[in-house]
Amino acid sequence: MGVLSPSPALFAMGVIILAAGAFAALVIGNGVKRTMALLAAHIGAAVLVAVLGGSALAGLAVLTLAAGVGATMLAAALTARIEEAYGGAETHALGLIDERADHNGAAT
Amino acid sequence: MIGAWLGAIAPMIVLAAPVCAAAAAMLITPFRVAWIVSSALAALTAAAALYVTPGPAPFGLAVDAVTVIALPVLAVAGCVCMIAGGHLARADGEPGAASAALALGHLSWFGWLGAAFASDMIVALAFVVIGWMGLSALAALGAHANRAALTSALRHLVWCALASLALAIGAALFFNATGSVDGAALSLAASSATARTLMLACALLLIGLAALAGVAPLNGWAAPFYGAGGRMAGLLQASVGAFGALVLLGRVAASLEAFGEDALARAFAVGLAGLGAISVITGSIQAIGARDARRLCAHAGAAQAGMILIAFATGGTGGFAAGLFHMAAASACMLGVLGGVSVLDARAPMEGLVGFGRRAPLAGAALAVGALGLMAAPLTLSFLTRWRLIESALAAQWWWAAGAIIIGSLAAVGYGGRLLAPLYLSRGGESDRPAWRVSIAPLHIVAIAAGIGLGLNASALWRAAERGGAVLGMTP
Amino acid sequence: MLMAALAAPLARAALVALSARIAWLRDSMNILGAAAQAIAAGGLVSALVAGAPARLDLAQPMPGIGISFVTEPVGVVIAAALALMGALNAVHAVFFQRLQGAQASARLFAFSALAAAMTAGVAYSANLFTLFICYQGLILASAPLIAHGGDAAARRATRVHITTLLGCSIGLLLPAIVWTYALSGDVEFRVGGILPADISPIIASALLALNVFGLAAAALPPFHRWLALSAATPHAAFIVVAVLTVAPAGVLGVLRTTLYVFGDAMAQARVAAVVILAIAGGAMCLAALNALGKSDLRERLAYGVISQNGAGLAAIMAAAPPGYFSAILQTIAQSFAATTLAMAFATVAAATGRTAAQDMAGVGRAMPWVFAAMTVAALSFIGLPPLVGAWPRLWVVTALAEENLRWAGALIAIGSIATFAYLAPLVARGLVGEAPSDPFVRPDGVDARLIAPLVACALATASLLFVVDPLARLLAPSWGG
Repeated sequence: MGVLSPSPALFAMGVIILAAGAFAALVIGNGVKRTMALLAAHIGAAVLVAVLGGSALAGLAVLTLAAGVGATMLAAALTARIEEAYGGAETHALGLIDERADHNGAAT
Repeated sequence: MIGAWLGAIAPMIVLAAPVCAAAAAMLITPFRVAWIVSSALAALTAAAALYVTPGPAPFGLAVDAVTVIALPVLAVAGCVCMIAGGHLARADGEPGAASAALALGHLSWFGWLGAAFASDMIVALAFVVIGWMGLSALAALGAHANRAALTSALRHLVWCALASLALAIGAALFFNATGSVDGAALSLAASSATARTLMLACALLLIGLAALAGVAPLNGWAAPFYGAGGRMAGLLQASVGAFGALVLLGRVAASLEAFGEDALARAFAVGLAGLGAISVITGSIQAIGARDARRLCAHAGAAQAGMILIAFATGGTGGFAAGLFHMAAASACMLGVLGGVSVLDARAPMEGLVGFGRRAPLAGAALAVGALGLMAAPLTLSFLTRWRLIESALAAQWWWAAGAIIIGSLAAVGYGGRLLAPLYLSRGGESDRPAWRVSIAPLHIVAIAAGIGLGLNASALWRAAERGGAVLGMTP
Repeated sequence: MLMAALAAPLARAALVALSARIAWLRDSMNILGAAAQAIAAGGLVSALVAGAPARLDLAQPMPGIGISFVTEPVGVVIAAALALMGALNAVHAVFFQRLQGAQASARLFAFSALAAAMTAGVAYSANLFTLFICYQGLILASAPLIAHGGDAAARRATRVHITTLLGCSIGLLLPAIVWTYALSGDVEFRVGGILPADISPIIASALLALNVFGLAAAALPPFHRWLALSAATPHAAFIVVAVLTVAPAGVLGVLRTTLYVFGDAMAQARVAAVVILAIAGGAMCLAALNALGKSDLRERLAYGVISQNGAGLAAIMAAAPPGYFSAILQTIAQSFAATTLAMAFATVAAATGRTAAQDMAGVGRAMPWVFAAMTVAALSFIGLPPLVGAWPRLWVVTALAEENLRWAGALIAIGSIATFAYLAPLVARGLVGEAPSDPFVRPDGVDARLIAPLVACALATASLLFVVDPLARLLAPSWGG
């Protein structure tokens, strides 16, 4: 590593949380779980930023967390609307549906 | 005297006016008045952007030659999108949500405008998050016309959020290696043992920005977003969002110049060009097979972005200038095609284009000019920019990259032709002409003027791109 | 005058389109517009003879790259020949369409005029950039002509036309132009060429191949199918595409790029030139043999044009002054003879309903004027002395012999014999065969106004012989002579 020497344990933890969260956010169909995965990915990223940059990058870590909170809130709102539009919390419509085949487009 | 004064306050106006417009859209009723006020502020933003000159900007931001070429494109394209929002926000959103859509559009625009001013990576990230998050929310507001807007908005949100995380980690790694988040710090660290960390940082930054710009295969969000998301969101993403992300991508790619002829940097540049070539080919193939005009734009956008990536990867003043030059053309094409099909309903199947040019002459003309631009037909701006792209690849002796650009151009004849061929085939039916649709007219006029007018004389734009390219190509 | 030569066909297209519903006005505009272009093109030739070249700068899209036109001997002479034939064909087309009672004449005339404008642009372009723009415009303007028939064969021909020509121009010609610009920093046509004379042989060969195959309108195999398929289009459109605009523009493009871009650098591109020469010579023979097997006269002529274009390209690739002169003379002679032949075939088809070679026996007895014209044109096309078509063959064989390419000279000779085989018996049977009992589907025969331009074309073809010497003097500066 470069200027700073981050703690390996914290670094590994950040990487694992970020990777797991990002992977889950991309592949999980359930909206609620997907939203949580997104939040986890942001927390992992914020940890990584803090580890890599220390106090000098506190601003970036906070920004990452804030973006995570914003994205999570928006994702949660969207999830609620999707459940309302398609019906059911377990709908696999969450981002994975092929909207070209969705001929009920103007239903909501 | 007045010029200097205008130059000094222009950056402030460019950043403040969209925020004021967003506030006006939310606070003022009725919607008609809110739209007029916000449109006036958008026009003010566009006018001010033309006066921005290199130098310091408010709030610790900076203006260089890259900002000077990026801002007018971002501002003019955004301005006409915002004016068109008068019709699109009303047509796509739920009753009463039009004001929110207009406000979100202005906020997102503010984000992408700010990114062009960013002096360091953290500031850039902050603006970028505002930009894409506004677009996600805006896309979701199209759910009244098409419920798939919701799923496409969520997909966009997830992809863009992860792209932002890549940016954040990249910036942190960059800081870790150089002790700074300013690209200029690279010259001090380039030769040190931190080169590999820096490369990793640059890779993450480039991947994040490529995903935001819609580069294939990192654009899993793009086709549904354009195809089903709110029309205003698609327009803004194609002409402003992708452009803003590519400007930042150019700045990061310019960092590689600091490594000179280093083998690792060379391999990295080849990798970047390779990603561009993949994007060109994937996007082209998907665009040829697209059954929806807006989805076609998503794929065509990937192909265009791929070409820009190749130009950036070739580096040097010529490469960056060619990339910046083509970005303006791609933005104009997208404005034309998506602006044209915006007159159609929330869905834009290819069959809907039969006779479209006769039903809606101005929109049809904008669509035709946009499609001709995608095809890089002579006398369009895209033809000149494509010329420069091929030239930059040949100058770098990257025959395969030039080949990818040429293959992309050949494929563009196919998908551009698919857009163009049915336009004037038959009369089709008589169209209804809602009064609000006139708000899209400025967008069509700007798309036509940019596509054809600049095709006849792009000297000024090219010189601006060359100045931008010189800044990027020689970044220490 | 240069502006007039370029604007006249554009104005013709616009006026024809505007007067689409008034037949007499539309037809008058078509004829007057074509005549105006021919007069302007002729004026440019006389101005050049008088030593007054012209230049027209329309726009400068990028620093150092402009949309400009200039009069130089090669372009001016060929443009004038095509414009003269175009004017005579315009008269023929008007009365042919009337006789046929054909629909959508305005579209046919307007796009013919646009194609003529773009061909003039190719001829007068001052640089590669302008040439490319006009060439692409020509491809797009000629596509509706090929689609004019409206049936499945026409749609297929249009698809092949657009994909082949646009594909080659974007995929091969455009990279060649940009590469040339990258190497020489210039795209302006200059006597002696703009490429550095010491260019690497590999790059020079690659550039030459990109240029020649990129200009697929020249119909050099493997990019010749578009021309063969264009025979599916109606007669009036076929003449414009195969004889007056697209096909000659391809050879003209190759000629101008070879002379004014490569120039002295052709010596470095020897490998590609010899390969292209072999392909062109082979194409000349094979296309002529193929024509022999075609019974439809338009198809036969289409293969004939491919074959003749091969002769022209072979002459260019000899890269010597006699070769260049041969190619120019070949293009002019071919445009005169092929226009006459195509108009004659169209007239026969309109009068008798016969379009197959085997049905021509004895028709000449019923249509002596038409067959007389056809005979003159066929003899020139074959290359029989003393008609003008013979001289390019002589010059090209001389050029090839000088360059020690005797095998290529033999190919040209074989091609000429094959040309004789598919044209001479056709005309002879028409003249001496037993007159058919029912020669006309139209009992009152054909209008004299349909025959007049045809005879004029034949006379022009015959009298071309007398301009060979002045032409040689006018053209000599183009290769530094």
